[in-house]
Amino acid sequence: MLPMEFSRLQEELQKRNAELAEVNDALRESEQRLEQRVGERTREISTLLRVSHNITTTLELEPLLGLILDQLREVVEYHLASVSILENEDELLILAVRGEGMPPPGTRLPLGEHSDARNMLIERKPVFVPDLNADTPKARQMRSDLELQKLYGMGTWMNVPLVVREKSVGLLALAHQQVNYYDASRVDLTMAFANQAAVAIENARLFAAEQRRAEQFRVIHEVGKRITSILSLDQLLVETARTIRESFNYHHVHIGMVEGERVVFKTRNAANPEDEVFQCCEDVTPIVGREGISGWVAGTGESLIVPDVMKDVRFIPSKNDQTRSETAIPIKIKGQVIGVIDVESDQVDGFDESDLVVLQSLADQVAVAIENARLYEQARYFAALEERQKLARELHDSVSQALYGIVLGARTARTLLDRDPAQAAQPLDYILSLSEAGLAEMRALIFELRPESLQTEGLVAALGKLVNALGARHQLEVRLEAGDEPDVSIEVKESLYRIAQEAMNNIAKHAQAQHASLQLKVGNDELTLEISDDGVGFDTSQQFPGHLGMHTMRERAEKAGGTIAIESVPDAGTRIQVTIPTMAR
Amino acid sequence: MAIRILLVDDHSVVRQGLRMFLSLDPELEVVGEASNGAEGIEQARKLKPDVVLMDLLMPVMDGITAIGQLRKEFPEMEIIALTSVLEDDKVIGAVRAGAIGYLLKDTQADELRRAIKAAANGQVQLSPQAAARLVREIKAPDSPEKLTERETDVLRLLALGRSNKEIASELVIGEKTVKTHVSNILMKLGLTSRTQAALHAVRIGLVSQ
Repeated sequence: MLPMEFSRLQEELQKRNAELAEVNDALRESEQRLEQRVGERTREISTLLRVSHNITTTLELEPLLGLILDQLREVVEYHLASVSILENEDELLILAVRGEGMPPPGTRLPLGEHSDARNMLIERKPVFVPDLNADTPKARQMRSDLELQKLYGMGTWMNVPLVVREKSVGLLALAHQQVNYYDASRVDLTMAFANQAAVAIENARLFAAEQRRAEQFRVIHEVGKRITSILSLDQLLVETARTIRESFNYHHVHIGMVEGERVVFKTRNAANPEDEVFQCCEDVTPIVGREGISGWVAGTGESLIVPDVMKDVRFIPSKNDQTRSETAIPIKIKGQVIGVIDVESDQVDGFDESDLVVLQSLADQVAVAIENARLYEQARYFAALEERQKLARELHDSVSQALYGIVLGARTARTLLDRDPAQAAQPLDYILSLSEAGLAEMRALIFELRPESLQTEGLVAALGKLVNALGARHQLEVRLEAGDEPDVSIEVKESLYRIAQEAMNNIAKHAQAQHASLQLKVGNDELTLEISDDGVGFDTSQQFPGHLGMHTMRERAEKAGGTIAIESVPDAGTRIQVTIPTMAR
Repeated sequence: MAIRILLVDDHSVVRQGLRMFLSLDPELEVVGEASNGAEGIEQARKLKPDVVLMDLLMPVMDGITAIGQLRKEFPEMEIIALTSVLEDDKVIGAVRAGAIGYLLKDTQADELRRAIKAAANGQVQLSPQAAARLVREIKAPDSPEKLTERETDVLRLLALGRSNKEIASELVIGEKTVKTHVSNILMKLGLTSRTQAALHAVRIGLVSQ
């Protein structure tokens, strides 16, 4: 090989080597860059994943929004940021902010007809301005969109939509002081984050709605449980109104009943008596079908939501009324409106369908409870009526007869005083014995009227009065044998007293007896009441109407946990023995 | 001759008081007592009283049932319902059963004596309020047999509250004849007592209330 050729080749080789080394260097450099970028990307993605995990596992909406902004900072830096939710298609409600200068949470920003933000939300694509101060149309537009905000000192801006199921539900706004800091890759990264955030927000909203529903059902259940056990109608309505207001944080809750042609509110005591507006509303008695929102609902039997009372002619305003929206739900029994639940809010548009669902369900429960309360009051009324009739019969049988006898006796005595004073002694004695009998009757009857006296005075005293009254009334010789007051419950005492009373009445009415006796014996493990007479007796194998009382006596004895034995032979008297075991106590 | 009276009341104190009070009047004589309707009928058969004072609420047989049976058996015997309850259906029941009148136990004692004497004379006496109520309730059968002119005269006077004696002297006939006219009137109208006949007279406008 020629030396020249060799050296040329060597030179060439060196050159190639150098080139190769250069390429290698370049490659290595590029590899390093790549590695670095991969590392960065991995870091970004892992950050994204981590923060995504953080935000998607947070279900409470408010802390979540704060968390979203804080986690966002780890992905993309910013000096100002806000999360807003799209409401009613045409305004943004700011829910959380970071940095000085943004409008506070709760601010509503109307979306201009052709604003960039609106277009962005429709197209679901992010918008960014690398240099806010540049003299470009986009920068000018953005400056005009943001004119109300103090954005001095900010160099770059981006708006990223929050998209759920291909629909924008809100937006994320970010600003950084450094011009051109936001570029396509940072916007992409933010968009990736925003997608996760949107799902998390949606989940949180669903969760909140679900929670609210669960709370509603809990309250419905709670109210139901509480009110079905209330048997006084007034108390029931007051308690229901109060529970509804407190559970759902409503402004005012009234419940009215349909009385004749008007709705009369019954829930005065459900709120503070010094709440004048509330009390004022309670005084209104709207005509069914003609006055007020409650009247309308009572007339039609349909629920109604009035989103803005100022725009509704049916609304009857009270002085200083803060009501801005109202809903009323009919309370129906068997298709007939018997009342109205009326709920007021101090905000326009304070009610939606879910309120209606809850209130309707409560109205149904109230209807059932009212029906219960009514039936109960009716039953009580009839029981009282029966008791009164029984008392009237007793009075007729005893005191009024005695008084009539006294009148006759006194009239006789008065006449005899003029005619033959010596003869007046007989009617006067008669008057005396009747007066004494009448007194005994009255004592026994008053005892009947005050059952608690069985507790205070005891069974033995009560039996004593019974024996005195009947003995005097029917000129019957009744012997009472009773020792110390037995140590048994008041229920058992009452049962025994009623049995003795029934038995003594039977003796007086049917037995034609000369003597009767009543014994109360306290044994070691049982209590015995025995009533016997020497009257005509009856055939115990026969059932006849006059002895319906026998059945009642048996029931009473069994109720007291005891037994009753009735022995009777025609013309040989009757003996009734009640035995109550006392060991079981 | 004294008016013979039977007392029927389940309250012995009332019977005792009535007996004592009525014995002050020589024109009245309590001839017997009974403590329920069934006993009352038994005693009436035995004693044939002129007037029966009948309580309404009694065990075994109530007063209204007893009144019905007594009127059927003894049309000449007059019965006064004596009760402490003023319940429409009881009063109507008693009059429908044939009682000549009724008295509450709170009625003045002297009024009781007067009522017994009026009943013995066949005089119908009802308070205006009671009459108005009873006119609506006590009805003769739809098409009663026609009364003679004389019978109509007797009915009119009877409804005006006249006694047999007064009717007799007004129409210039015997007291016995008056009684015969009255039983014919009752038979023709399908009624069982003078009170019912008087109420009928008011209904048909023979006399005004």
